Amino acid sequence: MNHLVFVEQLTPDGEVIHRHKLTQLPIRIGRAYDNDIILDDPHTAAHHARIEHNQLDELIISDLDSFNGITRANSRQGFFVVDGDAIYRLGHTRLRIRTPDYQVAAEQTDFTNHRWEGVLPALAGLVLLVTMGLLTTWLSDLNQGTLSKYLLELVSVVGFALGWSGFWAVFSKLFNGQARFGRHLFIVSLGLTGLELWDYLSSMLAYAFSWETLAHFTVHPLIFISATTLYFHMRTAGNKRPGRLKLYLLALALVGSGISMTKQYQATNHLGDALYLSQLYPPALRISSDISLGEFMADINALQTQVDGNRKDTTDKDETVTTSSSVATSSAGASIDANSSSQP
Amino acid sequence: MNIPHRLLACALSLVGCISFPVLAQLSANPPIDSAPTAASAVSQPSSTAQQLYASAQQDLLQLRVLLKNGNSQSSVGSGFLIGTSNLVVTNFHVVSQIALEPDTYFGEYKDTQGKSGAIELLAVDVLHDLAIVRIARQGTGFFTVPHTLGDAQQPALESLSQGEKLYSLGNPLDLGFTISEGTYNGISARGFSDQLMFTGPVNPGMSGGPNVTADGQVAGVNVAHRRDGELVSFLVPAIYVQQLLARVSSDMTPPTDFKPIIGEQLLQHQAVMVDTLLDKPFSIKQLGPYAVPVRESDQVRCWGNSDSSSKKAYTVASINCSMEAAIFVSGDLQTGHVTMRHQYARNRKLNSLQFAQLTSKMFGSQVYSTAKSDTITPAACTESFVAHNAISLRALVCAEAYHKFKDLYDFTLITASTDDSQMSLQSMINIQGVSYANGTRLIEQFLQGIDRRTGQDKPAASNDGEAAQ
Repeated sequence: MNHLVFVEQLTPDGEVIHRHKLTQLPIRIGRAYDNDIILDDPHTAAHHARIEHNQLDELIISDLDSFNGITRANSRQGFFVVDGDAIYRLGHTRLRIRTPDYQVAAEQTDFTNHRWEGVLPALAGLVLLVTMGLLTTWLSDLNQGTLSKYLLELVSVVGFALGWSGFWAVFSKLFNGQARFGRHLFIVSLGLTGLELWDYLSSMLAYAFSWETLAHFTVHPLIFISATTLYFHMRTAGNKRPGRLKLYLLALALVGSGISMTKQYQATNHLGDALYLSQLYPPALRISSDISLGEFMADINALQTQVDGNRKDTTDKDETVTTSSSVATSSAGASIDANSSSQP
Repeated sequence: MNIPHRLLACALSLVGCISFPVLAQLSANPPIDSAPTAASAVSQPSSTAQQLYASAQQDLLQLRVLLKNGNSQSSVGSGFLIGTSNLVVTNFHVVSQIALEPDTYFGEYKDTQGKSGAIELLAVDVLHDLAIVRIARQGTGFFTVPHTLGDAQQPALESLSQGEKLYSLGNPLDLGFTISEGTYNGISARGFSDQLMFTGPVNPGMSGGPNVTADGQVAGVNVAHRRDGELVSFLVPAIYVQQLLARVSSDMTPPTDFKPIIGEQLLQHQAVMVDTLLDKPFSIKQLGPYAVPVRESDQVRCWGNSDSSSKKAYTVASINCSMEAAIFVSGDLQTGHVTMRHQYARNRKLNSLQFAQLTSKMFGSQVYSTAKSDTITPAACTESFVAHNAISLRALVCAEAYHKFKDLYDFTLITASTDDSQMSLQSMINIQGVSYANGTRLIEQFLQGIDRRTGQDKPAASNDGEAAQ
C-alpha cells in the first residue's frame, strides 16, 4: 500500500527543523539505526514509536512501551489518532504528522514594504535626525554658538543612532540572517524625533491650554514612545509573534512608569516628575484665560489643609527624632557658630 | 609593653574624636589663615585681661552636648555662672539639640579646673539666641547681671561707649579657655533685635561665653562672627540676659517639652517681622517697562546686577533683596527669613522661540519638594495664569509646613510675565517661618506690586541696566 505521510520535527516554538516524507507504513521512530526516522534525543527509546493504520483505518501513532512515552498537550497515552494540528512529544522531540489532504491556512497579506530597505530608509533617517538635531540645537542656542557646537551636537546624535542601529542589525543578522541596517536606522531616527517632538508638543499644549498635568508627567509618554520604537526594532529583527511582543513591551513600559513614579513619590511626595509647569512660550501661543488675583489667593488659602495634612503625626515624631540623630551630629560643627551669612 | 601602647592609641583616637567637629568647622572657614596675623595685630594681653581672667575663671564653663547613644560629643560652646547662683547663661544654639531632641542628646559642663557635671536646660530665648541651664555648683559672684524676678521694672544696666575695651571669654575650637580683647562698636540693626558689634576675635566654641568690660560688668554674650569679615563679631546685649533671668529661678522645674515654647517664640517673632516688613507699602522700582516691589530697610538689603555685554544675544538685569538676619533653631533649620528677587530679561538677537527657551530656563528649577526632610513637609503647590493691574503672570506658590512647630510655614512664590515675546520679568519671594495668614499677606502685597507701566513699552537701552548700583 502506498501512503504519503509527512513527519515534521519542530522546535519548542513550533518551527520545523526537519520534514520527513515517507511513503511506507508503518513508520518506525527511535534512536536505533533500523528506524525510518532516527532521533538524536537521549530521552527517547531505541524503538520509541510507530505510525500505522489501526483496524478502523485511522492513522495512529503508538508507544512501543518506551519509558518516557508519547504526550500530546501534556497527557500521556499509549496511542493517539493522528491530527495534523497536534504536536506529539517523544522525550524532548516534538513531532507533527500530516498527510497530503491536510488543509493549510490561507495566504497572508504581505505588509513588508520590500522596497523600503537598505540605502533609502537609512538616508531618510539620517535626514530626519540631522534636521531635528539642528532644530533643537538652534532652539537652545542662546549664546549664538559657533558652527563647531552644532557639528558636535550632530555628531553625537548621529553617532548614537548609528551605534544603536548597528547593534540591532547584528541582532537581526543573528536571528534572521538579514541585517536590515537601513530599516533599523530609520526606526531609531523616527523614535528619537518622536521623543523630541513630544517634548515640545506636550509643553506647548500644557502652556497653551494651562494643562499642567502634561507638564508634570513628562517621563511616561517618553517611556511609551521608547517601547513603541523597541517594538518596531524587534519586528524588523524577525519577531514573529506581534501580539505577544506587544503585551511584553506594554508590561515593560508599565513597570518602567511605575518604578519612576514610585521613586518620584518617595523623593518628593509628588507623582509627577516635574513640580510645576516651567516651560514658557510667547504670548501668541496661549489660548487659556487668566484668573484674577483674588481667585489665585483663594487657591493659595486652599493649600493650607493639604500642607497641614503632610505634617507627620505627633505620635511618630519620636521615631523621627531618633533616626535624624546622625544628621544632627554631622552638622554639629556648623552649629557652633550661627552666623554664616555672606553677601556679594 | 602592650598596655601603654593601647593607652596611647586610645588617647589619640579620643583626640581625633573630640577635634573632629572642630576640624570640620576649620575647613569650612576659609579665612582661618588670617587668624594668626589678626591675633598678633591685637596688642599683648594687658594686665586688665590678666586680672579679669584670674577672677573670672572660677565661673567660666565649657558646655558640651553629647549623644546619649555612644556618649560622643556633638557640639561645644561656652557659658558662665550668674552671680552666686547655680544658673548658667549660654547661647540657645549651643544647647538647641537638647531642647529639640532631649531623647537623643544630653548636656555636660566642664570648668577651667577640668571638673565636669550634668546640665539641666531651664529656659530658652530663641529670638536672641539665649538659654539658661542649671548645674550642681554655685558661682563665686564674678559675673553679675542685675535683675528682678517677674514682670517688674528691670534695673538699668550700665551703658557702653564706642571704642570701649571689651573682653570675650570662652573655649574657642575646644582648644582651651581663653580671653580676648576687642572694642565695642555700637549696635547692629541688621536683625529684628539689637546685637552689639564687637571688634575682636570670637571663634566657634566661644558661643555662649561672657563678654565683660574692663571693670568686670557683663556687656553681652558671644554669639556670632562674620566669616566674610575680620574680627567682626556680635554679642547678645546683657539686657536680654536680664529679661530671660527674670523668668527663671534657681529651684524651678524645667519644662518637659521645649518645642511648643520655641514654636510660640517663633510665632511671636514672625508677627513682628511681617509687620515690620509691611508697615509701609513696598517701594516700587523700575525694570524696563515693569514695576517691581522691593523692600529696603535696616533688615533687608538689596543688590542690583546687570549683564548687558553687547556681545550677548540678550540682557538680564536683576535685583536681589535679602534679610540679613535669620533665627537659628537647629543645625538644619534656620528660619524667620525673607528673600526676594526680580530678573528682567530682554531679547536682542534671539528668535522669540529661542527667547522662550531662555525664559523657561530662568523659570525652571527654582522650587523643589522633598519628602526626606525631618524639618519641613513636602511642598504643596498651586499654579496658574494670573491677571491683575496691567500685567498677566504665570504664577506658582508652594507652601511647606514645619513638622515640629505648629502654625509655621515656608512659602515660595515665583512669577513670570506672559505679555511680551521680547522681554520677560521674573520675580521670586521666599518666606521662611511665618504663619499661614502672614505668608499669604506678604505674597499678595508682593504680587500687587508687580505691574507694567503703560506708555513705556519702548524703554531706552539705558533702562536695562537701571538695577545696577
